[in-house]
Amino acid sequence: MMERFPRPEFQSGYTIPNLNLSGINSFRFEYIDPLLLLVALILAALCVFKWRSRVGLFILSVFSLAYFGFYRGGCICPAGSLQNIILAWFDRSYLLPVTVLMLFLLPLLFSLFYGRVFCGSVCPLGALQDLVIFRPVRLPAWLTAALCLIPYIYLGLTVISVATGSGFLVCRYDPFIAFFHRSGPTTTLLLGSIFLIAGIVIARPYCRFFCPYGLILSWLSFFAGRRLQITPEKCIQCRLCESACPSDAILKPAEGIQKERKIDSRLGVRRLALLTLLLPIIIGVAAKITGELIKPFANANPQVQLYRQLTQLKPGGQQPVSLEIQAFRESGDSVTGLAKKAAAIWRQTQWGGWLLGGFLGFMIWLTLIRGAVIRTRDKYEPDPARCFHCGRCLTFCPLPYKTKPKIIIGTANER
Amino acid sequence: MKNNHEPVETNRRGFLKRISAVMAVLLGGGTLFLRAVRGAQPERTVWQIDPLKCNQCGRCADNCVQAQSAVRCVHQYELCGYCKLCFGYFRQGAPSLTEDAENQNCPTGALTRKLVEEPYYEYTINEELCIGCGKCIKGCTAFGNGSLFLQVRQEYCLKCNQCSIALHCPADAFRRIPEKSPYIIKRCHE
Repeated sequence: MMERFPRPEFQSGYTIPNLNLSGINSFRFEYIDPLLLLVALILAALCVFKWRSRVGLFILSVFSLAYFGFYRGGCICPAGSLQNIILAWFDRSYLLPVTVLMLFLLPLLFSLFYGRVFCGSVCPLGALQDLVIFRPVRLPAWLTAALCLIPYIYLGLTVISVATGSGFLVCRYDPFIAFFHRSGPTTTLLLGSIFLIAGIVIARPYCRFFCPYGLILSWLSFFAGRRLQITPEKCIQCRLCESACPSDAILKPAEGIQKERKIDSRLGVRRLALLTLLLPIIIGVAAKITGELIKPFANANPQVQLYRQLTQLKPGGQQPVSLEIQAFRESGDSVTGLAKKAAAIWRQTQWGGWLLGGFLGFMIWLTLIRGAVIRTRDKYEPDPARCFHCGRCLTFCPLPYKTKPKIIIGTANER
Repeated sequence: MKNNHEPVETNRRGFLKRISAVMAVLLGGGTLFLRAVRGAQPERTVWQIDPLKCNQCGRCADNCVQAQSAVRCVHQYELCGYCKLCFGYFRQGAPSLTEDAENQNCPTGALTRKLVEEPYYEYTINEELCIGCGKCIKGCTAFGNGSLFLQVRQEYCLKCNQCSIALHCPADAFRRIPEKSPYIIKRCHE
């Protein structure tokens, strides 16, 4: 770039100052964070499975909220780190920091072995919602099942958004980030307030019905070796745990369901066969519908939007142009190059929409199938996929756990 | 079977479930891991503005999640012409070329000047007052040497995973760059 005005020759001995920009915090918090996360996860697992202490979990969640939430600003959180992983997959120029990878993997690892201990007392968003549950209300089962589809949609849209370079959706629509930063756009503050106020009566609305990372945790916790057992032996079916759980995550034993609904086993088999035949139809229809609905999402991508604006411009040049078009013209990039990029993004989003639709169809099919599966459960226990391990059920179970003698599996003799 | 406080699924179904889960996780996680971590480095990336792409639209001042934007104006003195009639300092159509506020581009009075020797003035930015609106930079780039430019100041930046300003930049001027060298500085081409 040519300088319009040449550098002056100073006679008075003045020396031109150097532009000195430093200003990196010397203390590296991002190394401490995964370490503290590990410690918190270990403490959470201990509180749930060994000490069975709701008080311990409560203290841990207050600490998590204070440190990971307000002190560290709730960013980068494991939920957000999911996006960094996806970005590293799709964008070769982005190199994933190891610390972010650790933040992503640690809660998943613990979920695989111990269930969703992260959600209960370590996640700052979860801790914040947990602290405002004052009058939880039981939602009807159909509503819960419908709302539980939202995380799938959100996860799919997040992946598509990161893959097409449209930005990080989870960060953008994080409701509590404005509280953690103590400043933020008005829309975020409003959203956070709505979630917190709703959280007084509907327990953990973000965790149950929105969090995409929680979805992955729930898949892994389904396979967890250590399942949370509320009672050590014969459940007396008092249902105190069921009413204690604010998130409605306690599963009924099989006899209870069968007594309530009088399920005929032959009906169950026929329903299962019909549903299996319908599977490809459900997947196809869902893929088609989602493929159509994803189009406005594709249009929201900034490159696609810019291209559409450019092609819709009348050649007269009289109307005022947006800042984006001005910047594009100044940059000197070619319109054909932009057209190619926009077309590629459109294609990627379309495919993403079809895949997401197929996946959603499959999940809907699985939800429908649950009614036809034979259950062998004989006690009240938490649903491993939905239980946040907050420990409330443990305090309400009347059977004293700690004083029970050790249980020996598989033998009838007492020693 | 060892003694446990809780009964764990010990039957075949549970065992197979667990083994297949571990295998699936290792396979899926392993490929994800290897692909994502091929050049992994311990440094985090930070957001920065490419001053050659920036068109001084003014959105930097409005879109930061903080009340005072982490984007501030910086001055590359070696590029500056030290002009008495500075196009960054004085706004277009200023009634007179004195240092009254009505004649200045800067809405907060962050850009100040000091006489070095006639007719050269040294222009300095008070970072605490600067809000990153880019008005001075617009004048400097359009009519001057372009020694003023916007940068994300890392000591003020919260380093959000998704920069709110980056989302709204019309010129796509925001990039993630390594934390080790977090500034993109305009330099003299000599």
